[in-house]
Amino acid sequence: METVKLTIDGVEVTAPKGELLIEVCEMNGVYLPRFCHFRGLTPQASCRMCVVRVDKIPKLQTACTMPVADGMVVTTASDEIEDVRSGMIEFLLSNHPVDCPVCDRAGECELQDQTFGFGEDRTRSRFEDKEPTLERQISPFIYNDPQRCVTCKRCTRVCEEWMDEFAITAVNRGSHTVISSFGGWVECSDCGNCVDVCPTGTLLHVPYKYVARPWDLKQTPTICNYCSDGCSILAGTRSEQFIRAVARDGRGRTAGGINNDFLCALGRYTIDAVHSPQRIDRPMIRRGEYLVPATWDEALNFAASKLAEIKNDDGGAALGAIGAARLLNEDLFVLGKFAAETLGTPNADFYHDEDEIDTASFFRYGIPVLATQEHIQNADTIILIGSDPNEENPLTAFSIRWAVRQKSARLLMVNSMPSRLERQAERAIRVREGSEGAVVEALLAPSRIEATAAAAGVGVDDLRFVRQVLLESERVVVIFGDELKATAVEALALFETQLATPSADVATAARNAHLDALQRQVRSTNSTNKPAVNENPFTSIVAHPTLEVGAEPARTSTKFSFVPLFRYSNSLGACLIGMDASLRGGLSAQAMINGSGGGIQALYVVGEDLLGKANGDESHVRTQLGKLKLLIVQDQFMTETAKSAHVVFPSTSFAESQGTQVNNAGQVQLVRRVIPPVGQARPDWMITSSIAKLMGSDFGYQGQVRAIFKEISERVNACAGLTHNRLANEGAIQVSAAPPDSAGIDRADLLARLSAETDRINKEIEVDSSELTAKAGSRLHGRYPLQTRYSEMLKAGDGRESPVVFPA
Amino acid sequence: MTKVLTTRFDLKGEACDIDVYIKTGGYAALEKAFREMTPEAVIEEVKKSALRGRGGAGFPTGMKWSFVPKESKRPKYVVCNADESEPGTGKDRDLMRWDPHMLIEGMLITAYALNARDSYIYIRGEYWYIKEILERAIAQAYERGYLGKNVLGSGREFNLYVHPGAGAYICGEETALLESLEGKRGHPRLKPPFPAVVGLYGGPTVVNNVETLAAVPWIISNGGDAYRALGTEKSGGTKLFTVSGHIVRPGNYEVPMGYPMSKLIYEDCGGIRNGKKLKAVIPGGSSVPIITAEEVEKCGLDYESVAAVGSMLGSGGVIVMDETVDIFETTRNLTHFYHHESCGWCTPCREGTRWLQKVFERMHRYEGRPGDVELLHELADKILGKSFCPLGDAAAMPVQSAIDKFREDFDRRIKHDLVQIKMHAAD
Ligand SMILES: Cc1cc2nc3c(=O)[nH]c(=O)nc-3n(C[C@H](O)[C@H](O)[C@H](O)COP(=O)(O)O)c2cc1C
Ligand code: SF4
Ligand code: SF4
Ligand code: SF4
Ligand code: SF4
Ligand code: FES
Repeated sequence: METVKLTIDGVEVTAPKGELLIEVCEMNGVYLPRFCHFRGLTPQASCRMCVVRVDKIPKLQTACTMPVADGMVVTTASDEIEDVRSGMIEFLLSNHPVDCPVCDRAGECELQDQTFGFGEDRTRSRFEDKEPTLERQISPFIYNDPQRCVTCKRCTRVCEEWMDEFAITAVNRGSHTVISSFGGWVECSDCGNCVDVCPTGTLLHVPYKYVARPWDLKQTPTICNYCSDGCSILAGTRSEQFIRAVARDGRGRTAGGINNDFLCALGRYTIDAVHSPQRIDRPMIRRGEYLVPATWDEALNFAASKLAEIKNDDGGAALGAIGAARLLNEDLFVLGKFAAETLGTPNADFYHDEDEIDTASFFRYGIPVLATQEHIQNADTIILIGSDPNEENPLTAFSIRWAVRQKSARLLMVNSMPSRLERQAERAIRVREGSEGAVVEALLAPSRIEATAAAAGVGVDDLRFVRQVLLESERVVVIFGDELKATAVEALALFETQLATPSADVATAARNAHLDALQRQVRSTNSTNKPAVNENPFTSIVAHPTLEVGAEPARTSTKFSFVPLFRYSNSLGACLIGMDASLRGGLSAQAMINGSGGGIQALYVVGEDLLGKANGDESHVRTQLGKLKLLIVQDQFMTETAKSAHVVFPSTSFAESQGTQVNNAGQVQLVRRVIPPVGQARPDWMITSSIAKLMGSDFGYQGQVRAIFKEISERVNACAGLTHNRLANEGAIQVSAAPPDSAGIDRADLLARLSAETDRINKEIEVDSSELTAKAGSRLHGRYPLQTRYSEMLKAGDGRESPVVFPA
Repeated sequence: MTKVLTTRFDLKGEACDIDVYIKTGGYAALEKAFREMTPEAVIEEVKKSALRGRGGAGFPTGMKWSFVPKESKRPKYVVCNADESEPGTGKDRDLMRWDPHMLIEGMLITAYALNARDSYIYIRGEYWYIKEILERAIAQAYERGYLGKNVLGSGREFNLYVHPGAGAYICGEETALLESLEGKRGHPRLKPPFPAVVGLYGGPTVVNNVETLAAVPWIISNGGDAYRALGTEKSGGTKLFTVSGHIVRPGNYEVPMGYPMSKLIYEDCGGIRNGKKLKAVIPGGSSVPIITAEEVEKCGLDYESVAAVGSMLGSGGVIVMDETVDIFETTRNLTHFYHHESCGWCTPCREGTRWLQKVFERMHRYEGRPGDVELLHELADKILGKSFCPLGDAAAMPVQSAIDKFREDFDRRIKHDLVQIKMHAAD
């Protein structure tokens, strides 16, 4: 990285060239006051708090818009500067209600902090100088108290630049400026990021309104349990209640997290499910038609003795264990160990939905190089196949947008369904449903380009173009989702060798041509398209807008790196630690269900609602489960599956247990216990090992979850050397890749299988060419039924019938 | 006196017809530029003329043009700033309604010099009737081949569009104007990059005032040196002044740069109305410091001379006030304007103008508190030089200069404690 030398308050410092002065000052221990500046947003320069004197420039300068240059001499503290700062604060407070005692932001309010740090202890404005405005609710999740606004526009910039939603805006002019919807409710994906970045109590979370004071909150960093991106959240709890989840920790990011200041609606607003009245609060045993409450001892003994009995009668192979892909590694590991060592059965699997990415295919030849969010943000080219991360993996979608907008990355999309990300794409190819694999084939086998184009219902030119871009790019992140089927997922392993790295000349020429094309993009006033790249001239003042200030852009060692958009928070972890039936030589979860009453006599189901997931096949699954001699269910909620169990154990949610999970970038992260278990719930691993103990095998964990992870790190290569302590201190740690050895792949066979699939595609299916107009996030909410179904907050989000009308 | 801008004013609108315009020498400069001059030569001529921007800032026009990069990936644009919202200014209006083709010709020469295909006139919304005049003139120019494809056989295409504003003063500021033209909220942009490098739709863009562009044909026809010779060394040519207020003959007057202000007021405009005495003048539109009657005597009408008496030439809107005027009230009126027009982007202007207005309002009711005059001065000081764009300065300077020069008009508005007054009376 190129650096420059400059002097800040008489001290010479070295800084990355082109970085903003305000960030460089902060890196060197000089904090400059600010409202409008926020890392990751385009410069705004409106609050005038960060003024400094730069030698040779007659006027005071805003440090938030000034890129550092060699030999710059900067003064950040003087009477003149302090005068401006306190003047600006006095201005802001001149029409501010200062109703801190009833303001939810008080205690973590940047206006309070800046006033303490840089303001005066007096004011010349009087009460009658102020103009009160009414507080109002602008969305099911957002309150807005306009009088507290400092008009820093962090909120609107976040909504536009991070979310690409343009859902809120400043309306009116001058001192009457307020943040508002475009009339009626704010129609958006309810990410709540605008609220989080708001420095004052202007935007407030509805569910958190008047619920707690920040200083009463215990704040614990932990990891979100919804999608496979694995965002860090700061869990705020009080009196053993999980009250709020935010991304910000007051000053920047949650320790070691991967999401900077970003969260989505799920991570932020579904936490109330933890305290849902529908939680199972005690163990239950079936007595005839009814499940009746039991003590832990009764229930555990019941389960253990029944399991032992069936094992005795029908043999271990008649037993099966199914775990959910959102359980923590520790839970799944103990479950697998219990199946193998106590039950003596190979039948242990985590539940895959039928239409999910086939994990086994992805890992067939080793652990491919996985791209982290930072890698996505710094990629030259991103190809997105068969998924809409906007709906399913919102953080990944954010990183894609960032890469395109801030770094001019090239985005290629191959999808059968509409996605809002298409407007950011250099080329978005809409293919026939189920034909994403054909495009992969086209990329690998140019001779098949006509056949694949016909199968996918796209133009040959489109496929050639995509292949050409991949060939001439240096670093490519391949992001794929559920729509990419098994063989094609397996074939991704051939990308590195088949689409070789271009020579430096070719890559540079292609890159320049792309930048050139972006420059030449002509826009007209009437264009309805939102800008694909960041054409805000303000951005051009920063050489390399970056979220990781002062850091070298992250690059992978290989040309291709992958982001499999798994459906659940720990799908990848489940594979890594060997909970995949195909690795154990046992029956898959589906096979166990189908074998119920035959080869399978007892099922031990942890955290999964088999009936809820049956997807139209419910009566079949119900019949199958009915044939079992024993169905044990461990869950947080009384699901349909739990209702048909012989014994039910209440288990803890992610908020009540400690453990680890692995996101889709292969990053192991520590989930912390933020509240004690609700009701009589116990962690899943603890319940399992209790049953094991009663059945005669003592795993020796002595109630210590760390001991389980120690064992995992010893047995699972990818986790070698990791401990909970290390994860607590260092944050996310990526497991080492073991990329496929191309010699081990039977290329011809793989391509032949791929061709066969392409030829089977039904060309009658029409290509969906619709535009996405539906509210963003709807699929997102539908995808993760477990807790969202139980979240009153999200339900409130759907009840949008009574829009507030913006007061004139 | 040589006229540059107002030669066709006497025709009272006949020059809107392209035939009349051509008969009176119109489009000759365009022909000359296209047929005899390279774009570089045009820029050189304008540099020589010492023409300075008539929109308010007085930036040398030729120099501004030369900042536009020769090679650009994005298209270049010429934009005429016809937003004319500065209180006390109405010169562009007459230029456009009496002689629209001169502006069109000036813009075409500019577009030729900068190699721009498309040009825009951003006109204030209230000038809807002038927009119609301009559009008729543009249609004629298209008919005669001065606009459109292959203009004058040059093989090049030129287009001109008129776009109305929606009533915001800030949209006269060139970068806010560009935002507005692009269809966004009218807020100024950060500079640098300057519009000449990154302007409309990200392309290099020259923004010039109507009067600036209208002077270009004369410069091309008669030469930059001749134009410069009309005015002073640093401020070339003539300028159109809108004189308003308590004078006998208000109106637009074209005089050479450096012309004495007192001569303009007392001779050309016929002096102060009803035989009253002059009290003060705001020389360059409402945004500049006010000057006293004594200062008027010393003041010449060019950028340097007005600066010498502590004010600015600005847009050339000369507001004349006689002895009956309460400077407090005029300043209150201006503050109301700036508060109303502050775009709300930056803290000092948004909050400062609001607060200023609050104080003005109570003083207006004779309820000013002791210390309020000082408060006004300090608030203005906190705005001055700290705001994001010059509108903040424009709000602050009139307040400070009015207090400095006409303090007694302000002091009268302070309500002293009744008890104190009684005690004074008893003394
Ligand atoms: C608040 C504000 C309002 C302005 N309004 C106008 C205007 O109405 N007309 C105008 O020509 N210039 C206006 N300007 C000046 C323009 O920003 C710009 O300097 C000018 O258009 C450049 O043209 P010139 O070089 O020909 O003067 C304004 C500037 C500011 C800061
Ligand atoms: S926004 Fe901050 S300063 Fe304002 S009332 Fe709330 S806590 Fe107090
Ligand atoms: S919640 Fe998210 S999408 Fe909705 S307005 Fe706020 S930032 Fe925009
Ligand atoms: S609502 Fe908050 S974030 Fe938005 S402009 Fe106001 S203070 Fe800033
Ligand atoms: S000074 Fe600030 S608030 Fe005022 S008009 Fe300019 S940018 Fe807007
Ligand atoms: S932080 Fe620099 S102006 Fe707001």
